[in-house]
Amino acid sequence: MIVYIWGNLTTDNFTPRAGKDTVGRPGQSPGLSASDVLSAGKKAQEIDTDKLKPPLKAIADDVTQGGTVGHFAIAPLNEKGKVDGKQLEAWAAWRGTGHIHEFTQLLFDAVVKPNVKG
Amino acid sequence: MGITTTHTFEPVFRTRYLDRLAAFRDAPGPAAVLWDDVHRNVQANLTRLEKKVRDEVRGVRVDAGSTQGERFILFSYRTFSLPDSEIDPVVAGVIFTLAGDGVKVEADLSGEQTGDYIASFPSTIVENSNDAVIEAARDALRLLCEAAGALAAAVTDPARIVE
Repeated sequence: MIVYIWGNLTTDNFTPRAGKDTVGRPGQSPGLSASDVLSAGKKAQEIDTDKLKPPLKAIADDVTQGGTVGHFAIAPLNEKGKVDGKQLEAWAAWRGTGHIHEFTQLLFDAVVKPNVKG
Repeated sequence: MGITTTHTFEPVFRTRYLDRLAAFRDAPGPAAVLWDDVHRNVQANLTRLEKKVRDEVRGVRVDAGSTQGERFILFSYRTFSLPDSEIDPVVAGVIFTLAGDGVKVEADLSGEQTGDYIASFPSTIVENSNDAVIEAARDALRLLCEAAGALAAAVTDPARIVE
């Protein structure tokens, strides 16, 4: 499946925000946001979710529980298939450091079309 | 016969600073191009853009970086932001991707998280030589530098606040 991370191929944009992306909402898992639609006239990065390597997974919102249609959260899963909160927070802690976390690199490697325009 | 003593140690795995090695690991790009050179050239030219923006925006924060993935050889960039601001940072960058036997060079100014375009320029495809790639990048960066005023305006534009 194809999803889009809106914005640029920078390290920070491909790393979750602590306190925002690390917290779930009704119908939405915690994780880095992605969407199955482009935003008109704006830049995005096209990701093939089949190319995401473990432990990362794109989790679709549950619209019956208040999630948003077409929204996905990309997060590391534990061995039980649940979002691994500790790993997610550890990943988010790298944002703003200038360094590339291994999960961020996994995401870069799953980009199949860089800089697509909506 | 002497006594031989063998010491063995378990390997210690550290992940700190591995990203520095990862920056150009197994780069999918043509071997004829020295991507470290290209990155250095891009950053040297972005310094001119940074100076122009700093002249216009007091206290602007600027971060340099580079990324790569299986489908893009190098994205070399600088991010301009206001400290303690919710305004989307502006990214000035050049991306290099494979295009047949050549290399596609593309530059723009755009929002880090929203992807709104501040300025964009036509891409060029050049042969896979170091000189050709660096020259194309310089041409693109010249155009980026000319858009320094637009960058300065965007980085302080409250209409660009993100969640």
